[in-house]
Amino acid sequence: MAILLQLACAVLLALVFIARALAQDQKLMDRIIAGARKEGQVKVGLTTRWEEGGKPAAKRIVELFQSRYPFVKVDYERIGGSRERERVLSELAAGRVSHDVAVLSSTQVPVALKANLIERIDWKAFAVHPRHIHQDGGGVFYRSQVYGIAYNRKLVPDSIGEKLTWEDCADPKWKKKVAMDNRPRHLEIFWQPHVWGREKTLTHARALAANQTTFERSRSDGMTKLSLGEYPIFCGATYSTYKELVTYREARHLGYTLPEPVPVPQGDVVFVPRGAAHPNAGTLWIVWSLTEEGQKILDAVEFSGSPFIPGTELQKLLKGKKAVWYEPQYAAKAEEILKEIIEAIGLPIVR
Amino acid sequence: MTERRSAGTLVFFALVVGILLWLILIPLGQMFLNSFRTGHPVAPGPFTFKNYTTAYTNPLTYRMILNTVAFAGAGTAITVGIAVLFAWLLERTNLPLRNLCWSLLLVPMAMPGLLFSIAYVFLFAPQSGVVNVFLRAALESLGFSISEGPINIYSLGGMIFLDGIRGVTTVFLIIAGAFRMTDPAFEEASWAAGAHNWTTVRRITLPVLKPALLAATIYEFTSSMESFEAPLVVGLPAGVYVYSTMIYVSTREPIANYGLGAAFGGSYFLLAVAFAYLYQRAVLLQSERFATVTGKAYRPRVMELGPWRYPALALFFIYFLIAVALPLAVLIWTSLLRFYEPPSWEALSKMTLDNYRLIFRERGVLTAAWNTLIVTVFTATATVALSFSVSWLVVRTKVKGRFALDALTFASHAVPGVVVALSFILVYLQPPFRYLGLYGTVWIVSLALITQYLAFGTRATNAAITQIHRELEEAGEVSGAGKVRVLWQITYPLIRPAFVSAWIWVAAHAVRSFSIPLLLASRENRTLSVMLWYFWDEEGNKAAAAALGVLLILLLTFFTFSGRVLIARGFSQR
Repeated sequence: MAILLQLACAVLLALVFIARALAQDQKLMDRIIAGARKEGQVKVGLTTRWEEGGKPAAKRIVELFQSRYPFVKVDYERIGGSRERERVLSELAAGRVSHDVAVLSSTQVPVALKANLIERIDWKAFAVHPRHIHQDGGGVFYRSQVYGIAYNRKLVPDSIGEKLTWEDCADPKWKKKVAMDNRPRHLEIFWQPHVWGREKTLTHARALAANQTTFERSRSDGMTKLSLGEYPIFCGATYSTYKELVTYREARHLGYTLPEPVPVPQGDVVFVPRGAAHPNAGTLWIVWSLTEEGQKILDAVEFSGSPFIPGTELQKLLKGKKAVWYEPQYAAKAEEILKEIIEAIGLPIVR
Repeated sequence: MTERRSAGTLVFFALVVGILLWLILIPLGQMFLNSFRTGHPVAPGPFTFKNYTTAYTNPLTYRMILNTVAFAGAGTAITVGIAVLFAWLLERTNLPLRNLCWSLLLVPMAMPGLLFSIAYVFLFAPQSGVVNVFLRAALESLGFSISEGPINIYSLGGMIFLDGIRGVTTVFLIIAGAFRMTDPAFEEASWAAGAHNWTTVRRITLPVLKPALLAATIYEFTSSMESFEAPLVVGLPAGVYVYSTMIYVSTREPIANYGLGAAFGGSYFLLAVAFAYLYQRAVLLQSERFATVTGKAYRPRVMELGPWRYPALALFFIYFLIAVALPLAVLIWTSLLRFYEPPSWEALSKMTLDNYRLIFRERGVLTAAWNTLIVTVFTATATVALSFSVSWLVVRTKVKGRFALDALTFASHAVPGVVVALSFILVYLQPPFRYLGLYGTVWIVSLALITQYLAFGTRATNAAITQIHRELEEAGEVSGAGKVRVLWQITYPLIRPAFVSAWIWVAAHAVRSFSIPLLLASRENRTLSVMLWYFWDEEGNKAAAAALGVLLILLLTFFTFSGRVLIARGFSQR
């Protein structure tokens, strides 16, 4: 009886804590919403395109946000890949704060934090999933990717393409026929001791160089070339880029396979820049974008909703597969790991 | 009165020196400083030699230097070879349709280097390039089956070809005058001694023109060394790095390393200084030792081409086809498709104007057009004004140190565009210049372009002011006019034609400039060429890039030919 009573007390106590925490979260959220209402506007800069192949993309996300928060007018602009983000970082450093929500690559976040360019926000207080929070706490990973192998079905039949493995990317059989991004994030994840480990990853990277792999500077550009048949295989293609080409550009001759382990990289970090004109509205956008509603519309538009939310493309794709993540202790060393890999594949940026 | 005037001159001299230090020496100094620091300029790390050890202990660096020399050397050989042939044919032979050929040679100026490279990707990409598709079909009909190519534009050879063709117009304009002005007495003596046409060209005409050709060759070699577009578009996908792309990649992707970029920039700058020095020597040699234009009245004798007249004319049309018609045609074709595909009956049915609609709907394009206009007008006006100020101080005053001023402006010729842009990034992202708030504006792009074009501007204005005899200004001063009034009412009207042509030269280069606007690009200051690259590279939207390219070519064609009309009017007022 005493045990039951103790258990009941513990449960009651836990419920009180949870209720208080939820009330605090709600209070915090109410404060943010009130602030956003006062600000009335938010300038958002994200990677999603406004339109894809003439069909609305980011436009749909903005419309859904505005139907939920009609008192906040959204001004949207696309910020592209690593070069665009380098530009954003430099602009922020020069004091030109153009957005209330901006995006940087995860390796740029430590620099931005050191230079005090990011508004410090306790994202845990908004009940954001820990896997979506950058290890330095500077921002959140607003979209999720998986890396696999895309192939041109006119050049590689499905019977071969569907069985491609990561090792095949460096197989001499495919010499000069494989392309990759010049920032091979999937190799960064493989580098971790619990996945392939350093030695195997660097050996693979050197084999890629020996195989005369094409290293593309822009994943969009690389995938367009794959679609045109410039090379038959693209290793480390994100599922979202593949699906966008098939859906919006009718590139149905592209195939895609997810060899194991499946890397789930987190690269795009969104944050509220220090000095943003509408910080509450910016915070509101980010918190909303990580809710089930926000992630599901992102999933519908660019197929990159969180794998932790049931029903998203990635959640379905990863079911039964061995997924590997960037663990925080290694993510913190991402730049060093990337430099090692880049050096091994023979690109000119070295330590 | 005289003391007040000389004090005014000294203040003006100090002001001009200050501007030149701000534009040239401070950015270069900052770049050298940053080459000894690790970290991002936003949060710089400690001082170190690491960037130099990284850069110069890596075998890739030496391969890159070899690539740069091979690219610039072979590209220059092609350019100069074609330009000399065309200059000789147009100036010294009885080639038919010479006026038309002259005009055809100017048309490539309306096609920016970036677009030219992009067009050749559509033509010669190993799998999907239009020409390769047709060549494979032709080979297959002959029983030879190949899976890709046969020509691959993504290679060092592709880069050399693009650079070699691109430079022909400029080198032709540099040497055509020398061909026209050469005293024919030497050639006539050769013919009188019984030599044939070819022997005369080989043993008399070309040796006499050696200094002019040497100057043009070194000029073209320096330009090729800093060429950025072809190495970026067709070199990087093939893993072929040259100095300009190495610096760009170091500072942009996939991990920005500005210190390393600055370490590369330092040696690149020194190499460029060496070639600028050689160029200066070659020009001096030309003016002092090879006086081929004399006081005698003469008309260069025209050589008879005989049965070679029409084959020679065909060469011009082939060049025009390669330099303009083919690239323009493929750009128009691509711009009319939603997604690029090689020409076919099936593709014809998919033609649409959607890309042009996208271009006009995209607000960034209109902003870029406005930015391009501001950058062009401001850069051209400020360069010519500053050049005039420097030239006036150098030629018309006796201020101590005026020749150092001249040397400083000429030194800016040796700073490649990518290095100028990198040094400006480093200066304007760090205190104290960060507080000027110039980073990210169109003004920083303009200032960097002024720095690059100042050498040309001062050469043009130096020559123009030297031609005006001092007594004209002295007459004005004796009549009681102040220095400013003399400058405005006597000197300026006399040198206006040189002003106009220098302005147009700078404007024509500014409107097409790419490396400086790209490296200094921000959300607010993108120019049309940067926007074009954005569609091509960042968006991967080849068709939209082609549509914007076609519009840009139309704009530049108008600009090039109205520029020629303006120059003609400017000179006719003389």
